[in-house]
Amino acid sequence: MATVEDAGVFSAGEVYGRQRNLWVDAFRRLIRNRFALIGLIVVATFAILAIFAGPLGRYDPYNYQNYSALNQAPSLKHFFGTDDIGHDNWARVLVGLRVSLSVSLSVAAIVFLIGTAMGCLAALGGNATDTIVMRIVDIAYAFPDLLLIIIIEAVFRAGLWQTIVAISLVAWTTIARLVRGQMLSLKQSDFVLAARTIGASEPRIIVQHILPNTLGPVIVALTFIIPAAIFSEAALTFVGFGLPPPTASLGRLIFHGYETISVNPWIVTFSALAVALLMLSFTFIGDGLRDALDPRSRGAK
Amino acid sequence: MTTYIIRRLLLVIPVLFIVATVTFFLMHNVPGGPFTMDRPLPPAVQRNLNHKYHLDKPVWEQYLLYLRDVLHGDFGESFAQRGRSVASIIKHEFKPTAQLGIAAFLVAAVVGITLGATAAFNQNGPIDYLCVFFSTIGASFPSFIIAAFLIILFVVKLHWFKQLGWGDLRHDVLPVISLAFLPASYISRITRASVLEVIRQDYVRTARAKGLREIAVDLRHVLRNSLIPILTLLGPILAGLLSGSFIIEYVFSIPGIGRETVDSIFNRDYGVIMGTTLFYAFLIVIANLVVDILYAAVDPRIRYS
Repeated sequence: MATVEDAGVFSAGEVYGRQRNLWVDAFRRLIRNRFALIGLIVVATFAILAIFAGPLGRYDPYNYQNYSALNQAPSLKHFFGTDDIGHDNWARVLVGLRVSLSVSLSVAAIVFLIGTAMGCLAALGGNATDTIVMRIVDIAYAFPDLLLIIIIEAVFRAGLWQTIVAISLVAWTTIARLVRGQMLSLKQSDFVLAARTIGASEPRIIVQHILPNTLGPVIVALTFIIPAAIFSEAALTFVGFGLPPPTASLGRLIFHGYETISVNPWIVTFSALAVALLMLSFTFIGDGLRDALDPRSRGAK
Repeated sequence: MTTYIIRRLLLVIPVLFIVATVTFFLMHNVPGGPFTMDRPLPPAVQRNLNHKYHLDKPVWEQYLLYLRDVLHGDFGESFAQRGRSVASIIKHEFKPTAQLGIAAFLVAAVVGITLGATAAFNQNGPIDYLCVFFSTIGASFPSFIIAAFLIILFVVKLHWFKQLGWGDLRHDVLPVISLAFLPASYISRITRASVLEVIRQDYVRTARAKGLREIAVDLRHVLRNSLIPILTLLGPILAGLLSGSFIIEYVFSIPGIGRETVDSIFNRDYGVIMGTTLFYAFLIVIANLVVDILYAAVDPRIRYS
């Protein structure tokens, strides 16, 4: 950390250097947080498992069916056991991880774009647009989230992209509200006033000063949208919307596991644990990011 | 305050109107209709049914007819369960959901506030670590995952409860725990943070300095003031429990309104979809309103004009 002494004389290059280090600093603080580090490691491991689900799964998750090994407990041959029609559960959980990760990361990307755009529109577009955007957000809040997602999903019919779009169409409102609030308060801040005084143009102020400063809270909020999206996909598929069969998403595995829970609790245990671990890791990362990006906590350590 | 409440209550009407409109047109864009199911009806019967329920008219005309009926207090009839009115379905099916939701709400509030407050009063002690652990873990275990572990332990291994069925109190235990887990962890996290903040306030030091007994300081000065931020959470949590329990209703096959709603979307049962969505929206809007009013009632610094 920079102390008062070494801030005595500094060149423009040093100032620029420190500015660029903002994100490096944040990352350093993030991995110093033990829980966030564990979260990062788990997510990275899951991502690798999901990407290489084919070779690592050892069996074909859909077409491999061993009728002489039904409802088996975990063994060296079948790491997570087999289900009631002889599928290898390990291979299917890996594919499920792939589905959950691609749904949740796509939702986060779409929500980031729509939410930020709508939030900017509300904060910078004048009174009329602000009212319209915020009324849309208010109305969306009056719907029960999952039921609205289900109705939208029913309109689009089941499918991977349809699920992603349906979840995103409901989730963007949180980000829009956050971006709007951040921007409105940043617009009043002293450093924006300072930039305006030295003659910076309005677009430059927005792009250079306001937008980067809203990014921190938005990234934190996005890491909490990821577990919510994982949950939404699992819940949707669980009640029969979401991804159509035979796609082995984690939601479907849990749903299927429930049907055979009394004879073979392994299917539901492993898929439920995968969902919970994934959600937990993203929550850890989100908590860590919030501390790492919070300017008030900076210099405290 | 009274004018504020009246104004907020009047605002409920346009919100419900827009929710009705959005749902109506969304739902009519869902492919298929209530009478195009797996076992096809003779074309003449279909024509007559469509005519009876105005399904042969253009969508906007159906929409106006629906609005007219709703304004007269008539929410229509179910297509899938012929002869039952939507109002009676909601009334009947909401009972199990409300029973579970309110029980889970009470459990979550009592457990969450007790755990959070105890943790904060013993900061960095073992109970505190337990609370932090529980609140972090709990937020990542959705109800249907908790339910899976509960069923494996108490139904499959120990045979203490049955998974399916409804009606006697024993059947409430597992669903209520599954539903209460996440909100309890959330409430305990917020309570802990809030109590820790209030403990450091000057008026708490004053109370202690004037010689109040420790328990009186903790209950009357600390806990009462730290409950304010929690109050704002309780409304959305109750609304969420009442509207989001359909997964648990599926898992334990409870005949609740959440399951009814999901089934109605499957069956294109337009009347029930509209009725239950409006009902939910009403619950959510009212819950938020009650929270805002309570907020002003307990915190004298907040004034609505």
